[in-house]
Amino acid sequence: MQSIDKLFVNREKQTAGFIKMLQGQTPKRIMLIEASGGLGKSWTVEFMRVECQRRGIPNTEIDFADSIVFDFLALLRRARDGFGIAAFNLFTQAINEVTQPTVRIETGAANTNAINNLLGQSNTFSGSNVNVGEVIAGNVIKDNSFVINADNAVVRQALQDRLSGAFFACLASLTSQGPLCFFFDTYDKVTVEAEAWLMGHLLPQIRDGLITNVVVVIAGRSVPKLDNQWDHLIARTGLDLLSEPHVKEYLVQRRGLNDDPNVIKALFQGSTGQPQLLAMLADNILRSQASGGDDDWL
Amino acid sequence: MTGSEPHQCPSCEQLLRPTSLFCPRCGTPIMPTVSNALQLSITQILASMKPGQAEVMRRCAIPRWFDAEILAVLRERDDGNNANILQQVAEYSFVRQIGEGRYAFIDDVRNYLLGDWRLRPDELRRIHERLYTYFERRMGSTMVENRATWLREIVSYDLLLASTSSVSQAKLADELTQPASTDPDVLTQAMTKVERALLRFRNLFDAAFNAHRMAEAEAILLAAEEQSNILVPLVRDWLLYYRGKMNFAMVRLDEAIECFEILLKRDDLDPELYVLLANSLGDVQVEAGQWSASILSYQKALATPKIELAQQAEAHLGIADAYNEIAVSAGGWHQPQIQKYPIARAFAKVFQSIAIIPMFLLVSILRRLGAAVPKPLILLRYQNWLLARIFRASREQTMAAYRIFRQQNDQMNLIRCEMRLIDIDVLFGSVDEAIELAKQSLERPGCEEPYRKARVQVTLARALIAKRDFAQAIDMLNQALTVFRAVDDGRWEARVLTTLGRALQESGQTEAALKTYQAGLVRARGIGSVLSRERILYELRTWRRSELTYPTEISTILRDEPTQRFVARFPRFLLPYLQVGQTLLIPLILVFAAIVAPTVGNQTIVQASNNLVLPAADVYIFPWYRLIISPLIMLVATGVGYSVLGLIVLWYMPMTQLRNNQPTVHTLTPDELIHYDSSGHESHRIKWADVTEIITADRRVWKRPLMVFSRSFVRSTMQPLLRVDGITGWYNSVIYLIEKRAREAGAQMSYLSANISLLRSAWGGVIGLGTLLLSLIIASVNGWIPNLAEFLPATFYAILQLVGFSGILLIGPTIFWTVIRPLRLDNEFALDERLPSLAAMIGFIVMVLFIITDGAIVRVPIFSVSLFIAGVYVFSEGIYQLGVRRGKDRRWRTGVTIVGFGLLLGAMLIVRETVWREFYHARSYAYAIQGNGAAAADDRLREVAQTSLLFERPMVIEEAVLASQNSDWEQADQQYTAIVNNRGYDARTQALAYHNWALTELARCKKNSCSEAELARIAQFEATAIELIDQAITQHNANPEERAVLLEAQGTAYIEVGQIPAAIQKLTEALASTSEPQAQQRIRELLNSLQR
Ligand SMILES: Nc1ncnc2c1ncn2[C@@H]1O[C@H](COP(=O)(O)OP(=O)(O)O)[C@@H](O)[C@H]1O
Ligand SMILES: [Mg+2]
Repeated sequence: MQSIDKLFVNREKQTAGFIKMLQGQTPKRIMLIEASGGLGKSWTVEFMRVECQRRGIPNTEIDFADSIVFDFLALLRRARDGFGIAAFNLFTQAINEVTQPTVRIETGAANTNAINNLLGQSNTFSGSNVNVGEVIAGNVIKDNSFVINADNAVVRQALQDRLSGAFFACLASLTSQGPLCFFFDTYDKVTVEAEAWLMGHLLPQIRDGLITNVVVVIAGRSVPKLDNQWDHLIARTGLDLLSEPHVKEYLVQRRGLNDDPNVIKALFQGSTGQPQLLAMLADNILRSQASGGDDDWL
Repeated sequence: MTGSEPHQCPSCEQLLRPTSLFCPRCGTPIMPTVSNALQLSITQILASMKPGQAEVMRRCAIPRWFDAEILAVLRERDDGNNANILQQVAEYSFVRQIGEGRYAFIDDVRNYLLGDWRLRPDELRRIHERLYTYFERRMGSTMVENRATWLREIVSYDLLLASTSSVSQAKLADELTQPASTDPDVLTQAMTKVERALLRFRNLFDAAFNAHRMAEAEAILLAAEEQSNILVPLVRDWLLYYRGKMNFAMVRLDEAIECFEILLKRDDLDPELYVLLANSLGDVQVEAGQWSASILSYQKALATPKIELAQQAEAHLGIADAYNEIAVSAGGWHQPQIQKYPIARAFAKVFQSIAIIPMFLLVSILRRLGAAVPKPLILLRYQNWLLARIFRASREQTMAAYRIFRQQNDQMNLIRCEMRLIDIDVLFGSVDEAIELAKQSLERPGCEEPYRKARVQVTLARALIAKRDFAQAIDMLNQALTVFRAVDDGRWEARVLTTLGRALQESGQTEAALKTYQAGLVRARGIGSVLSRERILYELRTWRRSELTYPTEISTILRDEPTQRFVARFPRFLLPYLQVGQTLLIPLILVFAAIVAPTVGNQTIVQASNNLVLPAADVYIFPWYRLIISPLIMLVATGVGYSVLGLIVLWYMPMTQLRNNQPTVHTLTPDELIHYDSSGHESHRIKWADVTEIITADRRVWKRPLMVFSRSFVRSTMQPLLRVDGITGWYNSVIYLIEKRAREAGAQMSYLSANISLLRSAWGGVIGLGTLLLSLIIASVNGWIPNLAEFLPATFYAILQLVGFSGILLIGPTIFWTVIRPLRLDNEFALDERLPSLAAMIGFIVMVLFIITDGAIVRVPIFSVSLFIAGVYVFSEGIYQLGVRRGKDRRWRTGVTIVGFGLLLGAMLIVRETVWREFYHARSYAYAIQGNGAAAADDRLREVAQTSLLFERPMVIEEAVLASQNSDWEQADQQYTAIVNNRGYDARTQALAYHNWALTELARCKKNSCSEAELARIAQFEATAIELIDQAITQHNANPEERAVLLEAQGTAYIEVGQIPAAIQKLTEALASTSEPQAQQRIRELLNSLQR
């Protein structure tokens, strides 16, 4: 994996916009980066993340190219882990409650209390009494890592809504301390469940002002289609091919090639400024320059 | 594969390899496309590596991702270098990290390399096998939670391996020279391998899918799909099927249907897959509202021989669902508007109780026989027939499923079926059975689970409400409500609230009911459930309709609910039948009454100036019992016919036609008016502000539109004219809301009203007048009121009577409303093609019928005449309209116009004399009543003098008397002879004939002298006349008046032959018999002159 810190060039426009969003200098809260493959979306996202890290802004990245199955729970867990598990105790507790091997509604002569206990009414976790699950260290609750199993789609939906509710409750308390940021990459491979959460929960909550101080960046060959009632919230952008000076900067300053204008020009033309291609052409040249001292692998 | 498409050299069109930079033939440099350049780069990079390194790099493209362990598998060695190598591989810019220690090539590179691997299938296969074993081992050693991840890998490699082996075996088989011995074995072996792999895949997928772990299921599917182009077709088909299921589960209905339909087109489909497919397609279509199509899909599944019992049951239940949705989407049973005035209410009640009798009997018998039929009161309304038919179909299918599930002892599904059956039973009014069934359901083993139990409880509560056991129903509903709220099931929560609202409403807790309905609406809106919302709106609307004092908030709620849907109660293709049926009903009853009710009143005798005696003009009287009974009989007969028709619809109406003609739907949203046509497709979408004109063409009796005959149109920019039929449920509300919303959206609208309120129009006035006149005349001739003829000038009375009896004041408006107006209106809006032909046909039949029976179908001649004219008119109007419809063909148009007018003119000519005849007849009656015998007799003779071609009246005596009067001796002689020789005439007629004959002979003798013999014959005639009159009195059972007239005539006859004592005796008897002062006076004078 090549190091982004050393190699990154350009994308000032996007990063500047992003920083403005973080600092709340614009009403926009959602950045959509739509560009074809190899143009540097993932790198741009990664660069923004680094920027967040530098500023100590909690953030989480979900890359749908990952081979992880991003179901509802995995998504929320990933987000939680990104933001720091400590702030999400209530959420973890809720997970542990609902992810018992199989959730079924218990029998009982119309004992609806039992059901309420099992499913947990929303007020059960609005308080701070932590009593389910195991405490790892300090105040952090351990996630039992079960999956949601429900024999009924509706029950499942109910559980998910509950988890989502708990998640947002935790998120809200976190945002009161400062901005935080969600990154979604390779959105063209989004799973249906993740999309449902994003479009059904996260984005509407932001739009309706239910959670503030949250910035969302979504990158991919395709991005969510949102109609014009979102316009005031959305910054749409693409990614350009790199210009010759940037190609030069990349090749010479970052990859350490000799500053031979002919070579640079040839590589610029050969790659048309497409970062992925440019990087591979650079790989190629650097490989041929290398002594080949590597041992053979077979 | 991205970018690997072959392309051409721009100058010589040589086909180039994707990666070439120069054309090998002409040397033209080729600018690489991005992906070409990428492939070129990767090729160069690999070329620059050591062969072993390059090979490892190539192998890394095979798995979806790799880590150190997988790298070891790929390299076939675990020499401790893997971590190190992995690090070097990761240094390339086309390798991205996808997780902790896990890497993958970027897609373009991986795909390109995989393309190369396909040229080395055997090596690829070996690597696949190694990966497969690796994952199998790895799964065995990891924690439970990750098993699924590994299983997914294993299964997809399994599929790949099975596929490739089967392909290579097939190739091998092709190459072999003697395929006989080994092939089948090898092939089947390969196939079973595929099947095994497939089964494994399906189990894995289904496990995740059925536990609603959709993301996992999707991941499993994605893994398998990844290299689908090297999978065998069988596997690919299955994957596409699961893709469709996945889409369905994610409510991407269109995509799901598309997947399934692609597969269904294939004809070599695995039969097992075919059944699953057809059933799943049906499920999606039900969800998408394509109910007709869904039924067809399920039927395809059922038609497959390989279908398993459980699948069969599923298909039946699916069809039942589809039917149920069709029916439920219309709301519920039709609720007639409660009458505002107590009299109208009472009248409606009486009418209903009579009309219901046949239906009641038939339905009771059927129900006793165990048939599933709704209550008579429901079936009494044709608006419900269709619904009942559909519910019956739904019930039949549910029963089919039920039997199978019972056989398999599948408790869960039994409960599902029972819930549907209970609902239908309640709808059909079989409440006790429903409650019984619900209790049985609640006792089933699976039913103790609260969520399921709650649903059954809601169903049971409906039955309890029907049983009016509100307390228990409300209790049960509250229990269920808690459960649904706990699991946050909005759909059922809304449903409970609907039912609860109903229970509260019926138990008189208005306030609470209203609150509950409102809460339900909010919930339904929240989850976007159309059916839940419409159910509540239906309850509110029926509430408003069925009670005089409903809470006023209902109207506000109904007005302000943002989105509402209105469904036609009848498919449009059936509408003309209803129209014709309803149009003909009232005229038919009237005509039948006109046939049965009148009877000829007793004839008296009038004396003409020259002592000739002839029967006075008779008049039709209407005995009260006939007046009541005949319409009643007709009503009952209609009721029987109607009931039978209804039951035929219920049992035999073919569902196929209905399926292709769903009732149309109008949806009103805050922004738009949307219309779905009879195939369920959206045909209009009109922004409120775009509405330009609202045209109403309602036909009302008084104020309320007649459903079947009303319609409105909405004109708008950009969209075709939209029609809203009166048969649409809650038609008035729709029109009101459309108008209101368009106005509020600022639409610039004009209105066109083509409404007619039948009774409030000029034509209605005419009908009222006609009815009044007819009633007066009937009352008068029946003697219920003083006879009008006594007071009015005879001519005036005659005209009144003719106008009254002819019924033109009733027939005219009826024709206007039922024929002229619809035909002309329809012409304007280009509606049903069949109407003019139908009108022409009915007119033609009436015409011909009256000609061949000489008007004898109805008794009153003048009524026959007007019916005949009406028939001719309707016929000519029909063909005229047909002509208009032919449009441009001018000659045809003028042709039919001329024929039409000609016919009408001809008919007028034909009846002209009859009308005159009837006029004299009526006037003669008036004169007779007024005691002016001479004038009466004169008019009788004028009447006779009118020859008429049609509508004969038997008037032999009158004709003979006319001949006597005209001193046409020979003619008179012939006619009298004919009468007296014909045994068919009764004694009285013959007596009159003899009497008049004698007088005629006498008159002749007075003019030209006669022989003795002739005079003797005259005396003989009178003697016979006297004898016959005596006979007539006994035979006739004549009333005193008639007896008096006859005795008087007899007396006169005695005077003529000079037997004065006998004459005195007869006249005295006559005097005793009559009570009419005028007759008494006359006879007394005669007696006095005799005695003198
Ligand atoms: N801004 C950049 N500066 C330097 N190199 C870049 C930049 N953007 C992309 N690259 C190169 O292009 C490759 C592909 O970029 P990536 O972000 O993965 O593209 P995408 O996500 O759009 O498919 C990276 O591996 C990197 O080598
Ligand atoms: Mg990317």
